Amino acid sequence: MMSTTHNLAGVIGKGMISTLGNTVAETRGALYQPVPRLPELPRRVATTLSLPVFEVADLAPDTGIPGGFSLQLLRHALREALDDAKLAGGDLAGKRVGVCMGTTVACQLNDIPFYATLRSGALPPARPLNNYIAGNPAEWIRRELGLNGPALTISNACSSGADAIGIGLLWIRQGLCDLVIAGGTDELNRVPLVGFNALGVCAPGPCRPFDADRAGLNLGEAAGVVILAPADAAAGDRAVCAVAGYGNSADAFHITQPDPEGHGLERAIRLSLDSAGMIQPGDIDFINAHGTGTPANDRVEAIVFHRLFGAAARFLSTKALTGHTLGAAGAIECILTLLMLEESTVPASMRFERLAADMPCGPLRSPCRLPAAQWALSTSLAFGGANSALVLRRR
Amino acid sequence: MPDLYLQNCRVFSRFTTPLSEDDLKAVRIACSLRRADRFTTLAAAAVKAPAGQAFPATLPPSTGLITVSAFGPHKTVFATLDDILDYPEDMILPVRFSHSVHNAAAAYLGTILAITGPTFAVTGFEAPLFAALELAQTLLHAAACPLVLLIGIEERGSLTQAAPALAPERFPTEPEEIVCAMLLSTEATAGSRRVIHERHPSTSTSTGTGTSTSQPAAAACTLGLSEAAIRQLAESDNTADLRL
Repeated sequence: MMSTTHNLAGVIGKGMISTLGNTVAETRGALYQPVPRLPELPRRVATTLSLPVFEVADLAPDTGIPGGFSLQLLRHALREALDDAKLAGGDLAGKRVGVCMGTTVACQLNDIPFYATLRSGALPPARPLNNYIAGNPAEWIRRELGLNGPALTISNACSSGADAIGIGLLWIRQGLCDLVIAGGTDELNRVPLVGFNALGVCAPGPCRPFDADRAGLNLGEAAGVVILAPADAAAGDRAVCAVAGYGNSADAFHITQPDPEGHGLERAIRLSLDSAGMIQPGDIDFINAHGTGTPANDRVEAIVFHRLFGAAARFLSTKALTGHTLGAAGAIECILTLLMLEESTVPASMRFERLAADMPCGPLRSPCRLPAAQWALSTSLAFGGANSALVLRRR
Repeated sequence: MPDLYLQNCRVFSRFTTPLSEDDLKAVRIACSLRRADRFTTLAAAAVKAPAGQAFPATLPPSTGLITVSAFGPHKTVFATLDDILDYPEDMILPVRFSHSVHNAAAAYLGTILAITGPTFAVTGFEAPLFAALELAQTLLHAAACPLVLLIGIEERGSLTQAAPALAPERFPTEPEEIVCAMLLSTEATAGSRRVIHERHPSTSTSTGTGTSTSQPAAAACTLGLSEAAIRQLAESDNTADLRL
């Protein structure tokens, strides 16, 4: 293992927008509300499906930005993260700044009117194509901020955001960058909405992660951005929390179903613990699970948590608060986990009431005060059997 | 960062070894790709097509896997849109949707090759192959895997065909269909080639986060590769440094 393995990436700035709030401060307050907001039928997305979703309502669509609403969400979170890090545009000049972003929607040309024209044999307007190309999230940030560091857009489906932050950690450790802007973004879009419905994984009501009566997920939309700096540099040294470890492992099992025994997830978690300095499962104070509310995902996570962390594993899912935000999920869940570490309190896993017979353990039923909490884990699972785990540390 | 070495490489393109639909059919059968789309089949062909140069039949399970594409499986995305346009929303085919995501090809490749190492689908328009090479170097430097299998795929379809008419400054010609497999490590071995890749700098001088719709600077050719680079990549007996 490399000598740089244990180095931390201090989180010097955070920005987040979701249905929990338009800022990190709003999110922090909403995270601990005893009665969460309910998902509602889509308003911005035109659909005939009666599926409850978590839609960001307080951000008017701006047609002046490429990449659609996904990029607008990203810009919002990016500005907050840069402000939080006290970085103005000029502060980035001369620094090696990398950008690593996760997305699913922003890297597909899902414009239905554009395609309808194209398939009719006529030439559609060029704007959707140009916006799609200009809206690649990492490349857009690099151009927008005039950066010359690496720019990488990862589309690992639902683990994209976590993977982006994990790669950001590696860039910091390897001295490739002085700063890394990492995160993920995804808008609620008609295509994944009907797609997930076709897969039979959408809940008809509010999702109930890990509950015996869980019936699927609610889609959501969000963006989350963190600014990372080496923990041995001045800015990073002042950071309260840090990204400490990252692991990624594939199931090599099935295109949409997770390995029922969770071997890939277990490998990813073990790799993340090793990457954080060979810490042991017992060092982890709590886990922010992927916890989509689908029968297969939640069962696998519970099995792996029980196997690795024991029956007393403390874990929760925040997706009953935000919905499943796809390429943003790993990023916003990283930020939510950082907030939990900062507040030394883990909220209850919303809408979990009853443990299923096939689950060896369940999530937190009530908020848990952990004054000495130092280590947390955030897990992400994705289409295609992708598994990622981030270890986060309060310093 | 340690140097990056190309251990094996196969390139299928109009400029090198072309892939026929018969080749792809053979790959579908050999790899049991009953449901997979053409994009995924192209990705599998990168390592499994009978044509082309020799490639290791097996790889260590901990091998890292990166797929990279600008347009991704856009034909399958459009097939999903066909469903939405032609049928009620609750009647679209789940298989089409699940194959329309960028990382579906990586998932299939991992299963075909029994690779469980770190796996990524990378996408971009400025210089996606260079970004993927940088990611490979990062993973290898972090000892996250002993080898990285990098698969570049660009598939022809109605979108790539329309691109020159829609955006002629960016696409003077249609992006070429290409598939390449690059097996990478940070150790030089007999016959390996050092890969020298340079990041394309951003040309924007913007310092704010406004609402710029400025276009990417670099011409989006096929994975950001010129014809000369594609030909150079395919030179199996050349052990000189590979400058991309």
